[in-house]
Amino acid sequence: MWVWKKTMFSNTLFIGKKILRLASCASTNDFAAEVLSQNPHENGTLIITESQTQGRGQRGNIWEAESGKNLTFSVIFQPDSLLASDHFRLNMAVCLAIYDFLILFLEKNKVKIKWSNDIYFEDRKLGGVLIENTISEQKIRHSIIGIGLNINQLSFENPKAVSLTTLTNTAYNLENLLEKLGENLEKRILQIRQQNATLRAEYLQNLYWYQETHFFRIGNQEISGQILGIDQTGNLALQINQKIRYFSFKEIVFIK
Amino acid sequence: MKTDKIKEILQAIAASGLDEVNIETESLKLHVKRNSSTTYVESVVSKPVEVFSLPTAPASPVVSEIAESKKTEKATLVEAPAKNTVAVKSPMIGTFYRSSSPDSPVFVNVGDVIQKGKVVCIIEAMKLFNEIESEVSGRVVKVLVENASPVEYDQELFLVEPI
Repeated sequence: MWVWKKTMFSNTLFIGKKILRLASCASTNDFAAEVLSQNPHENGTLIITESQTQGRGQRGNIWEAESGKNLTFSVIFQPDSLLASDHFRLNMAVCLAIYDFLILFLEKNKVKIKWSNDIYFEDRKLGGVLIENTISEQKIRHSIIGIGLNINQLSFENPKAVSLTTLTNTAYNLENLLEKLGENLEKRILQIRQQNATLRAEYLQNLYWYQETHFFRIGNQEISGQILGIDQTGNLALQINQKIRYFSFKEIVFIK
Repeated sequence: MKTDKIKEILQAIAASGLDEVNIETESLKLHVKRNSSTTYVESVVSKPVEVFSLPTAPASPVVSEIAESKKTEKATLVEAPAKNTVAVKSPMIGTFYRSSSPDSPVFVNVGDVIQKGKVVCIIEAMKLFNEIESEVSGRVVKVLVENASPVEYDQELFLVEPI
């Protein structure tokens, strides 16, 4: 069991002012939803577990089993008045927060955001994001932001997975990392509503395979194309044979 | 896309005997379903529409894939008078789901009395999951969209008769 020194974050306005620590749980997102059903006001509450038994949004859960080594947590965000159609801005903000955090330890131009919400170091996955919103009258009433990041785990069954430790040969104090990440998260979340914020530009700037030619599976075909950007709703824009085509998440698979 | 061109496609589909057809090109998304009111055409990119040619073989794999889920769905679709009803609309573009996972029960059925704030469906977009709450209290009289199908911004999803 982890030993934690702090009960809440010091340098944030709302994130992590209340932290719930669980030795084990099925999914921190599900637990957060449960917390919200008991108390409707939980803005910034953070739920973290050492071992998530049914983590979602990730394929090949095998490495998830190594408990106590990684960061798996959820943050409840209750925006004041954020339109449902802005939900992709929230996703971009969260991905950028993780990026901001990781480049404190890793080579800047090797950390990438794989569309739409995975975090990569070169061609290997370091973590991912799973956001679940509740929409009421066209607005996001609350958002559960689930984050999983591989930190101290030394080996992975999946050759495409990697951790901060294996990349830097350093063991990390998870409590300190979590607080730092919480600060990055808050900073980016506060940018969602700023129309002059450069969330989209920065998201693209750090996007995996951005403006590179690669192979994608579309339907039953493997097609060569180049990522040009994303549209307002988050669809991926690809240039294929001099034409621009837009894809939603299920319509396209990254190949090589 | 010109209206007569769409008519021509619709006639070709009608003659083909297929129940459901999805056609997608750079300039257009066409989703046609027989015996159902959901026929819509969506312009994907806002640029001059290119000459559109109907593929010789309509997307049959898609048809068979959807046909299965349609059968199970049919039973819950009950015709009801559209009087005094309020529509629950989609707040975003995405995929409509009636339950939180394939093996979970649906959030609402036709005939259910729901309170304002009751979660009626999930709209998934780019791996983001959005639970949609009803803005009205009342009785669900119609489910307008089939499970796992794409929805547009502001598209009507359910009809609710306020009580």
